[in-house]
Amino acid sequence: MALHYSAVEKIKGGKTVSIDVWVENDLIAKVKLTGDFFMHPEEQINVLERVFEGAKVKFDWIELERKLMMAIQDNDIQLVGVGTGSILSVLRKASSGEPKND
Amino acid sequence: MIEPQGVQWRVIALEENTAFKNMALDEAVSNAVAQNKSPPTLRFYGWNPSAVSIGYFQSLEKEVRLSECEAQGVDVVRRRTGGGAVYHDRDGEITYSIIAPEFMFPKDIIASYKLICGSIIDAFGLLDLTAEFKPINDIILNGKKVSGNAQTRRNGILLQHGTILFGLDVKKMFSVLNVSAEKISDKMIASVEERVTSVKKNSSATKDQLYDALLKGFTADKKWAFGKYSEEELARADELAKTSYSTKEWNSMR
Repeated sequence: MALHYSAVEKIKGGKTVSIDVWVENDLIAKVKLTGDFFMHPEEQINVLERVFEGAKVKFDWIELERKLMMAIQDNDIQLVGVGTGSILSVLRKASSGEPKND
Repeated sequence: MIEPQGVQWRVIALEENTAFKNMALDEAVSNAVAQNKSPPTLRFYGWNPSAVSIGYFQSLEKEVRLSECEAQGVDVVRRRTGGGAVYHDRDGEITYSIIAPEFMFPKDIIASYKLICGSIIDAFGLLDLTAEFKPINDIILNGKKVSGNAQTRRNGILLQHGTILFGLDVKKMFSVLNVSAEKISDKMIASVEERVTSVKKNSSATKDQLYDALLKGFTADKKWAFGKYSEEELARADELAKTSYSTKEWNSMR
């Protein structure tokens, strides 16, 4: 059964980014990013979420940031009010916490 | 703003629709403008019944007290734009949408917010109120938020919509947005009242006068005329309201 972790961060400037992470056999099975930030084109949020799928829970942060930045560049994604640093930081916060009881 | 020669804006006068129809009209008009079937368009509208709109990336269940909305007859809709959850009181605000080719605006997103919000700030000026743009997407009046705005760009079209608070019912707002019960205390309401304001709190202007000022503020630099939706836009909006914006699939998507 997948373990569910989550965390929220209020970014400087007022936007909030929240993450839900499901982990199975120490690998990330699914990620959901939510919040009041902006991103164009909006539908590409799924592309960013998929970057993390299959990654180990004990992440290689530099590699994940590189993958995230590549996904942003390859898909002409523009983040507004949130950056890759905030996304990774909230992911780190979630993964270092206790799993939730789903 | 770059105004191509001969371009005349269509202004849709203040109207009331359901939340689903309002968001569907934004999309239908965006499609028509993208296909050169409709001119750049400025809409003014209200929400009947009162509604909550949530940003594209927000979680419905985290943001909205659905049972309370149902009990109070408040509709809930997910927007195509990012940003936060908004309670749209039927009597307490005016919403606008500006829909036009992207090339007419600065490429930089914040610069385009600033430009469009400038029209609202000019409107406040006409009511003798001094408002300021606060990046990314807010307008503040006497240090408090009075307008929130959200933008998307798709198929070469920029859509920005936003609300201008005329009155403010914090208690009602809190009853439909998902804040824990203890936060709906007098202390929390006082704290929101410290951060959010309305035209009513700062001026004796009526809602009609606010609308008139917004109309003037937005159209001052434009060639424009009042217009109506095309039959095609209306048909598409009805279809989108039914098959997308009022559906569980769309609204519970995240």
